[in-house]
This record gives sequence, structure tokens and C-alpha cells, in this order.
Amino acid sequence: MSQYRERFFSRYERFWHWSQAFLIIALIVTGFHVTGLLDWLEYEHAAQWHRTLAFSLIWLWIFTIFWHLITGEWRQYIPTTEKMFEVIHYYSSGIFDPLLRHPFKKTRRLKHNPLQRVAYLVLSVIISPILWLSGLLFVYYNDWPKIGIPSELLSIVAGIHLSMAYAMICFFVLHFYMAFVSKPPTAMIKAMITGYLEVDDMEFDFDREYRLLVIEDDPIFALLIKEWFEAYEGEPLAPLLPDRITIIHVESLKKAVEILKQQSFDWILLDISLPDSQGIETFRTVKSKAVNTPVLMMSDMENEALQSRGIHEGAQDFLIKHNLSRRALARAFRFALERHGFIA
Amino acid sequence: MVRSRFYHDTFFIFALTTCLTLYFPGGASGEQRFENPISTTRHDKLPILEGPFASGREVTRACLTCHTEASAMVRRNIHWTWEFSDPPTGKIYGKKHVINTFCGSTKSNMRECTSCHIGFGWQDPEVSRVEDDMVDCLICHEQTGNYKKYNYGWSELKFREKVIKRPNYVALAKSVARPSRANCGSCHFHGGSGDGAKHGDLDSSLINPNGTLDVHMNASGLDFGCITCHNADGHRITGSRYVVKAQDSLGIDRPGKSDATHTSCASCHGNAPHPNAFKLDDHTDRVACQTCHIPYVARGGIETMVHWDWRTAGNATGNSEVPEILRELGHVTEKMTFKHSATHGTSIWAGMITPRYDWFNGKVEYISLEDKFDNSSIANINHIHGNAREPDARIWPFKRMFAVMPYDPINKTMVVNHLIRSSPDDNEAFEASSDWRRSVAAGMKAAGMPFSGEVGFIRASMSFPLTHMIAPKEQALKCKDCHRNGGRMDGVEGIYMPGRKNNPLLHTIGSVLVILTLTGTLIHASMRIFMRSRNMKQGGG
Repeated sequence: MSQYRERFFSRYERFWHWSQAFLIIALIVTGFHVTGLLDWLEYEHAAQWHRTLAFSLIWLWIFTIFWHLITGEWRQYIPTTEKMFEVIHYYSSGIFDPLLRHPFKKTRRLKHNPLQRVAYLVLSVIISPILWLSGLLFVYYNDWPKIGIPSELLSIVAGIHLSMAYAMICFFVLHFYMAFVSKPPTAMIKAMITGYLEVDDMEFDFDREYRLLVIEDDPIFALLIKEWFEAYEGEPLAPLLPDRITIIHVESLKKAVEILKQQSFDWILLDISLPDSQGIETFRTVKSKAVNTPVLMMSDMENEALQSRGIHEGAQDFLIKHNLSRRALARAFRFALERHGFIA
Repeated sequence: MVRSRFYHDTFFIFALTTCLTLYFPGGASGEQRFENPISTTRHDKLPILEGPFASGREVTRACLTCHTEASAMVRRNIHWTWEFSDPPTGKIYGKKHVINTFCGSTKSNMRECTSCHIGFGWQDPEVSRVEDDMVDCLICHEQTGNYKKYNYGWSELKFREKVIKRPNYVALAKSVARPSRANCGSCHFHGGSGDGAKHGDLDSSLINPNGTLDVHMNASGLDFGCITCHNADGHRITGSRYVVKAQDSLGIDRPGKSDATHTSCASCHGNAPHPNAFKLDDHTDRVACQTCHIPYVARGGIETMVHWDWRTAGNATGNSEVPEILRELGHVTEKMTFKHSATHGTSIWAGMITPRYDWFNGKVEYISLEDKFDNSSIANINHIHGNAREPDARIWPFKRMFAVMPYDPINKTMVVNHLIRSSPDDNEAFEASSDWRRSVAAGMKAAGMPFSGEVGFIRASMSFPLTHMIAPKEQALKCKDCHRNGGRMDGVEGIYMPGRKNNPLLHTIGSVLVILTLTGTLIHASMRIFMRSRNMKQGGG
């Protein structure tokens, strides 16, 4: 299995992350002075710095919220229950087995596993806003009468601020630890510094057979596909695809529908001109029987209207037979899998 | 090279401008000096003051020829009446009535006490009724410094006995002007038995103070007199300690929008006096100006009395131990002076003491001879009102004073001790007999109060809100003086103050949660390490 470096964190994200980390650590230290637990610094300086750092952090967040809105990265924080149980199970037991992999595959588009999504959401919509709001109230304490807040509430506001500060510290401890649970432990730290994550090229499970259904009435072409992917002696496909893929071949739509009722596949390669069905209808029938399987359409000639139609209706690709090479088809399979992963 | 030269020059010009700006903050015009108002009358040119005057009363009669209403005005003043009616409680205060932790009471001791009365002959045998000329103009207005009052505020007896030389009344009369610090100080700096004894922020160091002792009175600076703030109109001196404003929400006084007195900092400085400091003005809703700007009690080099033990009166020697209560309150300094006299017992004096801080809403309630006390605890002679819940209360600095005073253990009341002879043949006074039963019996008789005949002792305390001897801002308290554990505000309750450990429960819960989180991650980490090493061994085998 080979690895490659994927650009995972943009320059802005890294700037945001590390400056926020610095600010939060400094805020914790100065905050503990303000609350009377530490006295390394003079109170005056600690309080001044606490304010300055807090305002810096708020500015940083204003920029960052803007950045998230503009880039659409805010979607990374939409909570989901999908794979939540698997992730919890992994962290509570699977992680201790060095051979087991994380059930969630991080990609640039989906950086956060469901547990992270929940944790970051709590941080950004509960802990941080309450900290800032209570902190700002604290700073502008003397203007409370103007906005109708009784001054007696100061100790309550301070208590809320302090509680959230402790919540932030707990988050910080967990976050710090979780940064080292990747395999290898320093991978995420490196990624957050360099921006690049060492990614396993393709997380194919080599214990399992990968299956391709070829729906093709031309036996010669079907044989060619088999030769390319079942018993090829030449150039290996890794890391693009596993070198051996099990291929099932059917000649008609009828047979395809039958086999799709019983078996599942990783890909379906579909010639849309079959004896018992022609055109887009062929695709529709197959897709309805294998909703979660990437389907690659194929035909003998260019027909841009039909091609677009097929992609529009959910095909992963539309290939022209006489343009195909082994490598090109392997790429198409690989890309279909990647794309399909995002769509599913 | 050219470039660095440019930077060098720019920096030099910048530095120079900065220095100049700092050195001449007011710009080229310079600072405008406060100047005393110049009177339209030179009293040394007035023929009527050429005398001759045989007595102070004759001087007063001369004054009254022009200042026709002055005597009547003065006699309405507390300086004359020694009486103050406290409207909310209906109690009668004033020097004539209140009890203090010094000599106790003026009752039966008027011969000595009235040397600070503003008139002549409070109980002079020769005086049967109050007349206009019995007001002593000189004590407040003469500027020679050669005038002093004696028993009953009346020196005639002593003059006749040739004990004291009769002063040069003409010179005194010609020197009159608006009262100076020394005039007010002739009494107010010496209350409670000596220079600086009583208040802790008033002593003779204020006659000619430098800017370090008092930024306003600074003799070579603003040179404020007492009456700059205690402004008087028709001889009605404002700013009595019986009508303290703990906060002046009116702010800066202007004609038409004024509380008629300048005896609050806000009268001139307003309620937001720190325009260039982010947080300082945020304190004014809870902290009095005095709290930060009077960093110590008795800053002028003259010590103030902090403890008076009457038990040793009558003994040849006193004690020399610092009482526990002073230690508990931190009202101690490294160097404390012990004074002992056979007639007055032992007193402890100290300067530069850290004040005690407490809530104060301006109201002070004084006990009376009718109030009952148990001598197992400390009797509060004056009760400072105010707490954190009152919007008008502020945290103020106080000088605390303690005493061990004579007390009636049967009636459980404070007593009047007839300390001073009222005449040479008065043998009931303590200074004559050193007999507590005799002197207290005489004192209580003069006060018209019942006395059981038994004399015990009771510990008593008194609080004096500090408001004078304002330090320059560089010497004001720093944030850290209060905002820390064990800081100056440690005894002040009912307020959230950052920097001292508030919410101990919250800190405990928070710390426990953090420690649990930390422990959890450590267990998780060690399990990972353990499993990995086991796995590697198995893989190796």
C-alpha cells in the first residue's frame, strides 16, 4: 500500500488553528490570573493581556466565520449520526488494535468524523459564544445599567465565564490528546503544520474481493475487460485499483436484473445498447436495481446528448468503447469510486 | 547607509517630541496656578483694629462693627453648638454628646475639651449668658500662629494668674484672613489627645505639606486650604463628618447644579475621572476614590493613635505588647510607639498603616450611654452603615482605633470618666484621685446617667473614614494591591472581585472535571501503548 501527501489544511486554516491555539492557551493562563488562581504575572498586566487576547480571538473568529461562509467549509461542521456508533466503538476498543483502521476515512472534503463534528459544534456554538458573551459583559460591566442588566449579576456572569473556561480546558485536553490518536500518532500534527496529510493512497480492503458487473452483449469486449482486470501480467494497477478484480459478465438486461437481485457489486459497466434494451432506459433499469453502486455507461459512438442525459441521471461516467485503454478504464473505476463515496 | 541615517533622524525627532510633550503636558502656555482670592480689605489698615484690646472678646466686638451678622452665623454652626441632630435617627450627636475611644466623653471634662470650642468661656464662672462677642474670631482667622486657647476656651483666668502671657491682640487682629490650614488644624489636627491622634488623615504635617503627602494641599503646588473643599457660606462650613456622602452622584459642581459643598472628589473630578484608563472608571460604582488614592493611614510622618488601654492608668508603667486585635486586622506596622502616662494609661501610635476597608453609605451611628454592651465582645462605638447591596454604598478606607475603656459591668453601659479637674480643688477627677469609682461616679453624675458603682473594662473600637492626605496618582494603589488573594479587600464581602479566588465550589468542580479528562486520556494513551507493544511482540514471535 503506498501513501501520498494530500493537501489537507489550507494556509488560512493552519494560521487560524495555530493562532487560535496560542490565543486560547494564553487566555487560559491570563484568565487564571484574573480569577486569582495564579500570580506569576501582575494582575494589571494579566487582566490587560486577557482583554487584548480575547479581542484578538474574537476578531480571528469573525474572519474565520467569513472564511467558512465563503469557502463553504462550514458544511464540515454539520452534525451527523452516520457512522457515529462505529467511530465511538473504534475509539473505545478498535483503536487498541494497531491493525484496525479508523472507520471514517478523512478526505479534504470530509475532514471530520461524526464525533469531531459534534465536538467542534459544541465548541463553536456553545462554549465559545458563551465565553465571549460573558467576557464582553464582564469587560463592559459599567454599562450594564444602560442596557438594563442589574450589576448584582456580575458574580453570575463571572461564574458562567469560569464554567465555560473549564469546559474549554477539558476540550483542549481532549483535543490535544486526540491530535495524537492518528496512525502514526504525529500524522495530524504534521498535517496541521505543513498542510499535508500522509494519506493511504486507496484504502482497498485486500481481504475482500472487488466485484465488477459487466453488462455487455459483445463477448469479445467482455473478454477484453476480463483480461485487463482479472489476469493481467503487465503493469500493476496499484495504487489506482486492486490488481485483481472479480468480473461477472452478463449479456442482457434481463440477466443483469436477475443477478443484481442476488449479488452486489462495486462497479457496473453498462453497454446501453443491449438486445433487450436500448438507450437511457437501459441505464434507468440498472440504476433502479443498484441504487448504491456506481454505474459507468458505455456505447460505441459519441452521442453528447445521451451522454449528458446519463450523467444527469446519476451515471458516474459515459465511456466510448473504441477510446478505452486498460489504464483509462482503471482510472474511470477509481474516480467513480471516489466520487460515488461523496455522493452516497 | 542613507536609509539608516534617515531612520536615525526620524527616531531622534520623534523621541524629542515625545520628551517635550511629556515634560510640558499643558503645552507652551504652561500650567495655571491656583491663587488665593485677594480681599478688597486690608485689615491692617483698619483704624478700629489698632486697639487697644484687653481681651479676645474686645477684638470680636471690633470685628462685629463691620461683620454685623458674623456672630449670629457662627453660633448656628456646629463649631459653636457642638451639637448635631441626625435627622434619620433623631439622635443628637456632636462633641457634647458622642462617646469616643479616646477620653470617652466631653461631659464633666469641659475644662480641657473646650479649649477647642470656638467661643470664649463655655463654663467660665464670670459668664452667665451668651453674648455676641463670645465668638472667638481669632482662632479661625488670625494668621500669626501665635494664638492658642486654654481652659474653657478662655484664657482670662490663666492670664490673671500670669501662667500664660497675654497675647498681642492688635497684631493678631490685624493679621486676619480666610482660615488657613493652620487655623483649622489648631483644633482638628490635635483631636483625641495630641497631634494626629484621632483621625489618621489629619495632623500638623498638613500645615505645610508637599505634593507627595497631599496633591491638592501641596504648599508649592495647588496649595489648597481646608476651605477650598469645605467651602463655607455665611460661616456654614460644609462637609461635616456627621453628613458624609459616600458617593456624590451629582458629579462636578456648577452654579445651578451643585450640592453646595465641594467636599467630595466628584465635586471637581466628576464620576469618570480616569479618561485614559480602560478599567479605572469602572470602579467608581463600588469603590470610593479615597480607597485607592489614600494608600496609608497617617502618611505625613506623624503617628496616629491606634490603641488606648485605660487599664494601666494610675499605674507607674504601662504595657508594651501589641494587642491581638491589631494583629488580626493587620492594623500594625513594624515600628509602633508606646506612650504611657499615669493619668491616661498606655497608648499605641503608628504611621503608614494599611487602612481597613469596608462598605460605607455615609451614615455613621454613634452609641449612647443608654446602649447595653457585653464586655465579652468588642463594643463598636460608631457603627459604619452600608453593604454591597446598597447602590449608594462604596468601599472606603478606614482608620480603626481600639481601646480598653472603663465600663459599668452591672448596668452594662459605657461610662463617663471624670478625667479632668473642673477646678483646682476638684478631687473627684481621675487625674486627682486615680480612683476609677470616684471619677466614673462623678462623670456619670454630670451626665445624669445611673451608675452601679462598679467599674470594669470593655474593649471598644471606632472607625474613622479616611478622606484627607490624597496621594499623587503614582502612589495610588495598584490593581494588584486588591486584585489578588490576601489583598487589601480580603475582608470586604458581598462583591465579586476578579483576582481573588471567587466561587471556590466552581473551581473545585472545574478542576475535578479537568483532572478526570486528563486521567481518561492518560489511561487511553497507556492502553494504546501497552496494546501496541504486546502486538509487536506477538508479531515478532
